[in-house]
Amino acid sequence: MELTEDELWYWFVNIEGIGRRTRHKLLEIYKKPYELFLASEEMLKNSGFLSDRQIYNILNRNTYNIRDKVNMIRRKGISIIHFKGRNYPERLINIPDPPHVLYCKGAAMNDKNPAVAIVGSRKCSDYGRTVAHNLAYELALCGVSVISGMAYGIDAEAQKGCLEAGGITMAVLGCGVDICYPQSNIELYTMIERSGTVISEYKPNTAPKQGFFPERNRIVSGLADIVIVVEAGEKSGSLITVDCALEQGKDVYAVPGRVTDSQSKSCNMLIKNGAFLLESADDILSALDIKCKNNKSIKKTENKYSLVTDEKIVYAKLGLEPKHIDSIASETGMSVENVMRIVLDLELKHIIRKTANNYYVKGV
Amino acid sequence: MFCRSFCAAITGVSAQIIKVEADITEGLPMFHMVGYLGSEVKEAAERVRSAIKNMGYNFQAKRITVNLSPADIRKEGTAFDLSVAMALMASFGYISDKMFEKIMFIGELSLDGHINGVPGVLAMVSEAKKQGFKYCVVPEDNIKEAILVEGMGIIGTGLLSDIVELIMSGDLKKHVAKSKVWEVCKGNVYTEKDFSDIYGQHLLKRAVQIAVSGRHNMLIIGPPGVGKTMLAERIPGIMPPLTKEESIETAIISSICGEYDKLNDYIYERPVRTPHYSISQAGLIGGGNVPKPGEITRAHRGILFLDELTEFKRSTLELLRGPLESKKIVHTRMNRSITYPCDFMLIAAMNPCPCGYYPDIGKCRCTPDKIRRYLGKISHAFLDRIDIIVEAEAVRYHSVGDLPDCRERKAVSDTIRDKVIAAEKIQHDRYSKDSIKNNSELNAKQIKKWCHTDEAGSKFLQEIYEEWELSARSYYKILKVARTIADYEHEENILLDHIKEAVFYRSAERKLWHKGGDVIWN
Repeated sequence: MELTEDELWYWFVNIEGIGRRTRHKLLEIYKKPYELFLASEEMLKNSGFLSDRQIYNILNRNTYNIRDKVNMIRRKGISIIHFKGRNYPERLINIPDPPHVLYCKGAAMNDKNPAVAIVGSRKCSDYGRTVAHNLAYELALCGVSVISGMAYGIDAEAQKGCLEAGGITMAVLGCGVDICYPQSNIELYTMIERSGTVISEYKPNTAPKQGFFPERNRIVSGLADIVIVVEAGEKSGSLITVDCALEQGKDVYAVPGRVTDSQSKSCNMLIKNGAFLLESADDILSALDIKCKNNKSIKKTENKYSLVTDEKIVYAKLGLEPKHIDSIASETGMSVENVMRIVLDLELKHIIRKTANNYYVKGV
Repeated sequence: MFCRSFCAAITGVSAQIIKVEADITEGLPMFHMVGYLGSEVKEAAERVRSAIKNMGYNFQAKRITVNLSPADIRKEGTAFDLSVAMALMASFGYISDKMFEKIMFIGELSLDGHINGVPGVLAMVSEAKKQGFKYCVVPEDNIKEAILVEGMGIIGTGLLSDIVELIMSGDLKKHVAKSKVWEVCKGNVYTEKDFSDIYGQHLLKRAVQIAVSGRHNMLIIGPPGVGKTMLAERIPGIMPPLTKEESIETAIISSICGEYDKLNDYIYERPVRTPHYSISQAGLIGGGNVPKPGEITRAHRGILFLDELTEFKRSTLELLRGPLESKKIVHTRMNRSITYPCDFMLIAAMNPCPCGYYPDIGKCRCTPDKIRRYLGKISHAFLDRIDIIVEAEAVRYHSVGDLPDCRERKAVSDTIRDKVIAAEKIQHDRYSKDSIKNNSELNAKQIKKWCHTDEAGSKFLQEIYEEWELSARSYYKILKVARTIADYEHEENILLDHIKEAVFYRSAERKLWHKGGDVIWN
């Protein structure tokens, strides 16, 4: 029985006991999995770097089994893109340590558009979220794809912003593409599946593992032209993405933050070390040499409503830094029950937002 | 010779009259006690024998049978000792039993003839009054609670021989203790703990006032050290004092639980129970082979404060669901079913995350997942029973910094309490024909009847209902709380402002427990 190219690649990347590094060596010798498939025991022994166990695993395969598994994956609506295939993203071909196979779910992968990776910490401040969201929104309006890891925080927020603008977004996961991790992002996951692509180098049904996330970061940066770090604390995983980006020769942009903010430590450090300072989407657009006609920035609704005096007073006391309702009350001298009503009104008018635990900020 | 005296057995929070029958005949000397008795009741035989002997009376060597009737209900405890002794003394012929029909004897005997206090005396005396007894002989330890029952001749006694002599003299009236003078409670009994001790936390204070006015259950979320516990301790001080009936109810419960020595001193005080989170299921709702009241029953008419709510075992917390609605708990065992009341107001406090500092990004060390799991310990079913949720802010320097001088500090609890009492009166008047007392007990039909909003209010409610995708239950909750706010502000109809405030108290649930709600730091 002849195996198709996809099936051969699937077999190749899933041979037990053979890791990525060995696979690279094997590809250098055999060029294609097909050749390896045909190789005799003697030839394999002569290659010199394979152990007896590995040779045994290469030779003991069940073609029916492989076909079954590949069919199963297809039935889940997951496509297999392999290293030598036509669909393999160009940007990944030349990076060090490229993934041999990518599993994709959702729309067909679009790697022709300019693309940016927006990454940052899971634990992010409201400032970080707003920046990530708006940045992605504005870039998406100009036809830039947004790539990220669909983690909590910055990642998810950027992808939400992109989807809101109707842009193309790709999520690179640290688990099988059919698993939504983190689970609470299921809404986002379904949305990306519908209009973007969910990508992983791990075969479907692989549970997330700690070691997978740093590995997938090289794909995140690899698929993008530019990597943007929005917010990252010390020792953040985003720094791994930055390392990958530098290794792959991509530009790194960082969003500056206040020096006292723990979540902006790494961003400021990156800028100090030579990363580009990112202020607005325009910085990226000019770097990518895109002239965007419909460059509408985030719509502002402030003027839509006329505010009464008390509302104005409360609104004036708010800023980008979250403020607790008690502080508003004591600063304005209003009774707390009045402030409660006013912030609720303003919240319903969508001109202020509740961040957490009765803290409020300006903006939507 | 056959003689009969009376005592009472406790079932739940009420008592049942028990006839103690003693019969002495000639025959082989023996002392037999019958009537479905617990082992401690059977042991009464030995105590009674020694006590009578040590008081200097001859314990005649005859065939003695004592029956506790009705013989089909289980009897427990040591309160029967005295009545057994009295029935025997009469049977022996030392005293006459002609007055026994009017007297109830309660007490546990020591071997030397002293009479010790027993739990549940108040319930027994109340029942005795209902059944037309004239006198109750109770241990001296229990006299404080016994005199709470008006119109009952209470005779406190410490020694078996005293009471024997009293019966011999036949002049019981002379020894009746003065009964409690019920006066209108004036002033705060909790003067030491005043609301003015808490600085800042305006939101929290306001929410507590509303919660107390309508007896709404409340959840406080806040980082460590913001005064959650401090506030809870001050809540009884702003609650209306117990009425006479209520204070007897609570006194009966403490009496059954054996806390009779402190009774009467704090008769108007509402109970505050603050169980530790390691509490067992039986400890919380009551239980045991012979069901005993748990913390929820002991918090009857008062406050159950659950600090560190998330640290309670989930299975333990879920037990509260039923009692929170029905205000009573029924313990069903093989041969009995006991109902305890538990009309309490629940105040719960918890941290916003495992480390306690969320949403302070500089201090909080938790991951979003951890926070979700932490919050997930509280089930929706449980949250549904909580009307008001507020989040407290970490106290800022300026509010700690400018602490007012102690001399300038004015007690505010009294003022607040007057407002609460006024709000409560409005509710009581309104619901005088319904079976409920407070706004928190309103059901859907009653809400339709009593919670009228103005036009702007109903329009706003509709808007928020759609915008926030509220459930019907949340909708009713908002109306209930709005009703209380209106009462607190002395408004007859619910106004837009009241609804907005009520909506605000629900917004935390939406933010923290709603699916897809985001975890954002500041």
